Amino acid sequence: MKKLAMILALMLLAATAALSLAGCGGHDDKNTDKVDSTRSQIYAGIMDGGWGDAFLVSAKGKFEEKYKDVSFEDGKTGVQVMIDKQRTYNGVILRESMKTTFNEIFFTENINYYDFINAGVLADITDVVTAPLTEFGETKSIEDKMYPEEKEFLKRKSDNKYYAVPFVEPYSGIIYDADLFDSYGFYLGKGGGYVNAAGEKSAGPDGQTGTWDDGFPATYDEFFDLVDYIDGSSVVPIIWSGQYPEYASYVGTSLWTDYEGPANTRLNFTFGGTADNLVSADAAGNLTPLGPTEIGESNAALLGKQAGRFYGLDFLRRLVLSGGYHNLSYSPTLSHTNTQQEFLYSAHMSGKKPIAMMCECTWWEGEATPVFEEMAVNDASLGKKARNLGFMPLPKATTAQIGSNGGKQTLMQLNENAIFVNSRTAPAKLPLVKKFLQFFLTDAMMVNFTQVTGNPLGYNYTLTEADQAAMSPFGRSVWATKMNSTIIYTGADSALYLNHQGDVLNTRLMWDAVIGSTSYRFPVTYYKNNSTQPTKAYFDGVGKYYANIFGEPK
Amino acid sequence: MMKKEKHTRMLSGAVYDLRVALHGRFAGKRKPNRKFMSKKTKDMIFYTVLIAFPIAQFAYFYVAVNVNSVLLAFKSYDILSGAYGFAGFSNFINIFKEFSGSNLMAKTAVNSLVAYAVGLIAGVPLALLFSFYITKKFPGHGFFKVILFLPSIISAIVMVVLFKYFVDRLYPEFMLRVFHKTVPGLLTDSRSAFATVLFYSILVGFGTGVLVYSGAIARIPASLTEAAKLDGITSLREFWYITLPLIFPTISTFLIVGVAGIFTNQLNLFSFFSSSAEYEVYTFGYFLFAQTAYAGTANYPRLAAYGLLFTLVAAPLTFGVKKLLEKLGPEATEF
Repeated sequence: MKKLAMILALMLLAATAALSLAGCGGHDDKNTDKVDSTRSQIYAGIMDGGWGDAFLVSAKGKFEEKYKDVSFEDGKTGVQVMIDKQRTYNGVILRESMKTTFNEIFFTENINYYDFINAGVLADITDVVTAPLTEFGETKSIEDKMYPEEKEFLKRKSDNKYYAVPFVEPYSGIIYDADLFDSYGFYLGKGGGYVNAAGEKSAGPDGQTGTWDDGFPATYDEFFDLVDYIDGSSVVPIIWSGQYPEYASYVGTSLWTDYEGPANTRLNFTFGGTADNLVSADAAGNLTPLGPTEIGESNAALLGKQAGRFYGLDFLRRLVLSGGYHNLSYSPTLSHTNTQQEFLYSAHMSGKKPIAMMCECTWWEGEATPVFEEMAVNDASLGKKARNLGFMPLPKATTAQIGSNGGKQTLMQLNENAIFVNSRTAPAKLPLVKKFLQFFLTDAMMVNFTQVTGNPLGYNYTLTEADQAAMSPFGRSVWATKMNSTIIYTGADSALYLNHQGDVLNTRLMWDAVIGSTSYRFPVTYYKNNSTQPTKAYFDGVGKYYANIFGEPK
Repeated sequence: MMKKEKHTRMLSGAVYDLRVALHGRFAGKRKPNRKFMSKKTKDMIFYTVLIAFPIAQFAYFYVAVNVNSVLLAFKSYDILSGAYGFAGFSNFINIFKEFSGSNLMAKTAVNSLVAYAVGLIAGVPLALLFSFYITKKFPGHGFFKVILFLPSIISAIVMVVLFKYFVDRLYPEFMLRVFHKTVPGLLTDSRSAFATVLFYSILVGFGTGVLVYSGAIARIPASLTEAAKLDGITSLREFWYITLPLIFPTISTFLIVGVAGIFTNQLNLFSFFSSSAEYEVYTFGYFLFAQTAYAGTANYPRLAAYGLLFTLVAAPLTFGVKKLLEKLGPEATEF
């Protein structure tokens, strides 16, 4: 009996140990190259995130090939890029580990830029950022490809030097299953009603037919009509992660910035300029404009009253009240990767209701790569490049907004991403590491990055039709989004922003509210538990939270 | 062959003669053994070498870190220049503003205190009973031993995942199939989320408690309990009148350490919700952890001020509880 109990206990332990290992996500593809002592090494650290490391493996191969006959160190010929992928290579942990790590260049996210500079872990890369990329057959420099806001923030004013450059440019929004939209006919028809992909579609949010957003809801009202229609078709309209409700909040962020447009959105980081969309709200949802207001650090809290915030919240409230969400969308058992799995499998597994849309960010496809691969084993048409999934154009809050901002959306770049060189890099190795940085940001390699990851980098560059043909349908829709949007870079060197970048103004954390005296983090949770409360309740709560953090507006 | 043997005998005889001669010359005339160092000095060197590393470690990782944290609480940080300045009490003032701005900290305090109280009222007595049961080898003690220790052996994340699925997916399914009632998962429902996390915390907390209490109970001399049994004592009375008083020092240690833990206990919230826990379930431990994990250097002074304030509350409270337990507890010597 004792022996049997022992065996059972051992079996249980073995099973749980196996579960622990499986829980690690099976990220065993860390670079296992052996150091080739005949070549010079570049040690590259990368955050083990949604973009994977395939883009860096691709860049590594091309760089090694290009310089295979060139000597950068005495007695060595050629280069070997060593890739080290770790979940901890981001944020504060990376800042501290850079003081001891051997990695020389990093591709990562959650970077508090000035914190990193002050910690002395970033090397000065001004020379390679500003020099034209002539060695690679280009006339522009990396700086020339950057957005004006990126240059303004990353070129430190006190010494006019660059210590980092932008990396990937993710957006948040709604992912839709285009195959499902086609087969069920969920596109909006030109004359009303719903059609499939071949039907005559409505003009979409930009108000023009024959463009990228045809057939999608132009307004919130149209969106929620669609939710009802989908619900009535025995399809789950939308899903988001119950463990990370911020994925739903992210949608609110995109709707907020889209309503506000570039200038008003940037105020949330620069805290300097005129805000012309500040409002007060009543319980019925009527908004009273407060008039153009000059924003400075002393009245920064007023930005909690931007009309875009109200509309973003209103959308989330209506989403909750519609009941059109997946039954696990509030369960902490539904992580972001579980959500992706549910979404991808739903239409292809008996006993499950198909799911039409998912609140996510553009990096999701990379995170879901194992699921795509698993599904493609039995059916190649379910692989990443075969499935028609897309990034939905944002609906507008009101009909008056249709076609606003020249038909372009306004989207916020998420997660404070950056590429930089470790200040501990040996002086003799620095030119080689910097050369790799330049190589990575040539036009050809930026295209390569986008093709591999389905995500754009935070720079101005173009993809031809042929370039896009190599991408997944979702990647193409993300690129179409970039081409049809104004992207807001979140960095700014205002003291208020820099002092709160880690907490309040982190792009993950922009929806805190104090309602009555109770603090809330996620609008979708608040409205699930307080379904009778108007949008005004949370909107005023955001204003109160901002006042608590930045002080009452003066 | 004989010749070789003869030579060997002669050689050993000569060596023996030499040894005898030397003994006769020097025996009893050996100089006193002059010691290079006194025993006291040697002991001191041994002692110094032994504790130098722990002391250096304590000085750096405890004293220096805490002194630095205390100083940090009175500083401000200019992120553009990377320079620290003197901030006086402004970090503390800001914290009190945060306290008054919303009830988040009040809610956090209540949750932390409830967690301690439930641990005290439910966790400690149950751990004591289980320990007594296991030590006395009552029926099924082996099963209880395995079940109670298992959470301490298995990875916390695995345990949390299993538990989450159990209470948030299996429970609603069970209610639906057996009672035809649609109910939300216990973690999905914000009304039951904190209680569920608390229950889990108590459940997995038994491992350490049972281990230590069992050890203490096992040290009680068998003769004592045997004598009591001859007098006809019941198990319950044995537990109450013999076991509890004799292991009271161990119990009081747990209670005192628990008070200090009010401000550090995360209740496994990070394992359950990662960084996305609702404010409803926040504890001080989770609050500080979540804030520090994402804070930039500019926030460190504020967080240091929080730490100092918590210490100002926790330290006297801990000493108070210690005094109280010493005063109210039974006078007993632990074996």
